[in-house]
Formats: sequence, structure tokens, C-alpha cells
Amino acid sequence: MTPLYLHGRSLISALGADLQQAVTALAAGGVTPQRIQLPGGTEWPFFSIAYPETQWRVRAEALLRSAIAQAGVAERCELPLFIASSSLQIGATETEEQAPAGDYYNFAEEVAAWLGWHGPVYLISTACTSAMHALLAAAAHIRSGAADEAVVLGVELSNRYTLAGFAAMQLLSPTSPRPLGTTRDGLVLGEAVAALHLSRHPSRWCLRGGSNLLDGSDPTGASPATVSRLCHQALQNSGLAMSDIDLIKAQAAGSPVNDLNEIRGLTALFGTLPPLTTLKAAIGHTLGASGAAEIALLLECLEKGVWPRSTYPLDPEAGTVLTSKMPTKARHILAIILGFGGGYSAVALEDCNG
Amino acid sequence: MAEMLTWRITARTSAVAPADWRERLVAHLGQRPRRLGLFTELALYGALETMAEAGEKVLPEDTLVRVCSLRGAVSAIIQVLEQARSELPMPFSFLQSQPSQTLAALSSALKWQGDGSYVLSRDPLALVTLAARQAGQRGLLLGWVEEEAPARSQWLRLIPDTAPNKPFVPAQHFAQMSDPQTTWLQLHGDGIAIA
Repeated sequence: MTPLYLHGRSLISALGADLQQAVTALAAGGVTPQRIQLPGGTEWPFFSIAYPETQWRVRAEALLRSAIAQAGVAERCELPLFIASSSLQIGATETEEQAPAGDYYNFAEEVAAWLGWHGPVYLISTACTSAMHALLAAAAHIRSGAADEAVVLGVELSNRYTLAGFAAMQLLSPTSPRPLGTTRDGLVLGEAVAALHLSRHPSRWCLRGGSNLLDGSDPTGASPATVSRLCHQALQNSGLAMSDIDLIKAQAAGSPVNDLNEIRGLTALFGTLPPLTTLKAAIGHTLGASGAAEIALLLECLEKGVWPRSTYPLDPEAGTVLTSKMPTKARHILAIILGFGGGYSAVALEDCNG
Repeated sequence: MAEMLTWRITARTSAVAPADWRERLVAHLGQRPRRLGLFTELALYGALETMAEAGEKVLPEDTLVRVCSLRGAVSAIIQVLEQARSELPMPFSFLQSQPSQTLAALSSALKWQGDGSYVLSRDPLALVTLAARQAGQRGLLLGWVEEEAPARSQWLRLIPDTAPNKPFVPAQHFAQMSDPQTTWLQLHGDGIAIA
């Protein structure tokens, strides 16, 4: 399979306005989620981006323009753009009195107008796995010869709709995210805008391949067998063996059941697991943006030598695999996102300097 | 020179769903669907109808499934927006508003676990092209679903095949996919060609 490479990348999240701020905040112990009150009086933690603009669209435009500029593609508006989002523009819609007009794709057109983008724009919305789907779609687009480069833009911005929906589904922690922790009690959602610039031209980080799987047998839960199958397929598509993987970035969002099922699925495939990390305690679960956001953050952490630390007791079965120190070798990385609706995605990355 | 990727269109549904689409869905499922929203039911109807026309009961696991909808589960979204103004929404209302739940329902109904996605572009032909690029030598099940009147659940089933000895012409617009005369699809460097 033709190797593709990640060039520019960016992340705007609760950790800061760029990746440098993000690793600085991580090195200092991370940030505490804000609390958001919903109609009906319930209150939930949420990892907000610290950007004070109150008009949803004005704020979104500023954040997206910044993310694209930071990824170094502000002047590459002719490239194919793959927008990944779970909630799209619902944050703007929910403040309007009348029923939603227009359509989902209006969001993509609005984003293209904000960015002055004139290349083809695709919008992918498969809940939490959206950005992974977008990355693999962009890779297929390039590999087919349709383009030499493409941009993936993960967008998940503040809205009460999703927070209320997840609260109603009883999926949220009322306090803080504790992925793979003994007392984990749910997810904490977060905002993120992240861009990845994918290219045929060599650079340090290679996207070896990946896989998407949909398993509708349990639309809100993760199945160990499907996790195993996903990772097996992702490695096969990447031309890698299990023994090649030096580091796994797990989904591990803090769900009492799914965290354990993910580890069981990985253990069933790998036997002894390589070092494993999760980033959701640092930025929350950023849903449709999470694939791009977590890859951008992970690569920055590896380059800058900063590593996320867990500050809570770890589950004796699931948590012992979580590595508290940066692995001495991280040439091949398997990044996993599991999603609402039975979505499973994984990509394999290679450090060509490793 | 490598052979062009070519698919045979083995089944398709018409653009507008027939008046009895709900009854047909029940017949395909063998029971009335439970706790699925209008959008998902409509998607299931079209996908299962297409599978039946193609003579398939189970979708091969390497098949790519792509669902496109510009308005999505708009009735469920409006319901959740209303509910969320004063209290937490009903869990099933929220689920029914999520495209990913439609994909999960398709996975169950088609007895299939594979690469399924919800992708949008203003140009449906661009989505066919993108899906073909992703599929490579695999099959495809592609659907365009809109729940607002006239309800639409238009699907295509494409099976990889050897290119026939007939001329291909560049596809100009998506309506050509609905034409029963169009039975072949080929991926070219600059887009889709049909025969």
C-alpha cells in the first residue's frame, strides 16, 4: 500500500489554543473541566475551549481558521477537505427559535466559505469515529490518484444538544474522566478543532493504514471480539504484525463497561499488550473530532517528550496496561477510536525517524 | 496497464419510496421495527429492498456501505431540540436523531459487520466516486435517504466484476444511476464512467 504522511497538524482544545500550549498544559498536570448546567437543573463537567466569543458561528469561524492556519494549509484551499463532525452546527441551530432550515451540508459549505476553500469538500458524520473515517477516506482519495494531498478537519464545538443527549443516556460522569480507573463512572465530553494535512510527500509520521468496522449488535457498547477484529484488520491493512506495535492509543473514555471490553479485546489479540495510553482525561471525549484531535496531540507529545499522567487509582484488570512514562520506543503506533452506534476505527502510524 | 476498477449494478431502488414502504419493510424484517426512527426505518426499507432485488440475504463483510442524507433524521432532531429546551431529552429520541444509529441498525438488519459511513456532498456523483475510490476491489451498497415528503430511499448495489466489452462514457449526473440502462460503473482517474 502506498505510504502516506502526516505533515502539518493542529489542535485547539481545552488544553489551549495550539499544540504547544496543549503539551505545556499537559506537562503542568492538565486542566480541570468546566461545569455546564442544562435545562432541568442538572450540571455536567465539560472540557471547553477557552475562547470567549458567545456567537456560535463567529466563534466557530475563528477557531476553524486558526486550526487550518496552524496546520499550514491556509493557503492550500484547492486541496480536498474532509470535514469530520458529530454535532455539526447544532450549537448554532439550538439557539434559533424556528425549526432547522437548510441541511447538514450547509455546515460544510459554511466552513468552506469561512476558510475560502475551493477544493472538493466532503462531510463525514459517524459519531465518535468521524475523524478516523475522514482520515481513511482522505487516504483512499490520495491513493486512488485523485490528489497528492488532502486535509482532514475535525470539528466538535459546544452545544447543549449532545451534552443533554449523552446525559439522558446516562453515559456521562458527573465529576471527572477517569479512563481505565477503578472509580470510572462515565465520559466527559469536550470541544476540539483539529486539522491533519495528509500527503504523498515523505515526512516524519507515516500513516501506514487502518480499518473501520461497524457492529450494530450493541449500538452503545464495545464488544471485545469486534475490538480484536478491528485491530487485526488495521494491522493487516498496514502491513504490520502485532509484534511491531510499540504503543497503543486506546479509546478508553472512562466508561465502566467499554474501557474493560476494549482492553479485553486488545488482550485477546495481542496477548501481552504493548504500552498503552489514553488522552481523554486530558481533553475529554471530543466525539467526531476525537480521531484527529488525539492523533495530533499524541504526535506532539511524542515529539516534545511530554506524557499524560493519570492521577487516580487504576483498575486492577484494565488499568495496569496504562503507561505512566513515555515508551522508550514508539516507532509503530496503533490509534483506536470506538464510537456511539457500534463504530470501531483504528489506524497505524509509523515514526520514520524511529 | 492495470485494469480499471469496474462494478456491475445488480440492484437499485427507485428514488421515491412507494406508499407501502412500511409494509414492505415489515415483510423484509419479518416483524414491525421497534424503537427505530422514521429515518432509520426508511433507510432499512431501501437497503433491504435492494438486497432482495439483488438476491442477497446477507451482505458480504468486505462490502462498503455508505449512507447520504442532506436533512438526516430531521423529525427526531426537531423533537430533541424541543425536549432539550426544558429538560433532558428522551434517550430514544436522542438515539433516533443520530446518523450513527442508522448505521448500527443497517449492520444488524443486513447481518453485516464492515466499513459503514455517513458521508455528505452536495453532488451525489462525488459520493459515488469517493466510495468507489475507497472500495477498490470490494463491493458497495450506497443509499440516499430523505425522510421528508416525498420520502426517498434510493439505493444501489454494486458488485466488482470484469469490465464488459462495451464503451463507457463519463457519468454526467446522478440521475444516470437510476436509469435501468446503466448497468456498469467504472472508476477513472477523473471520476466515474458508466455503461
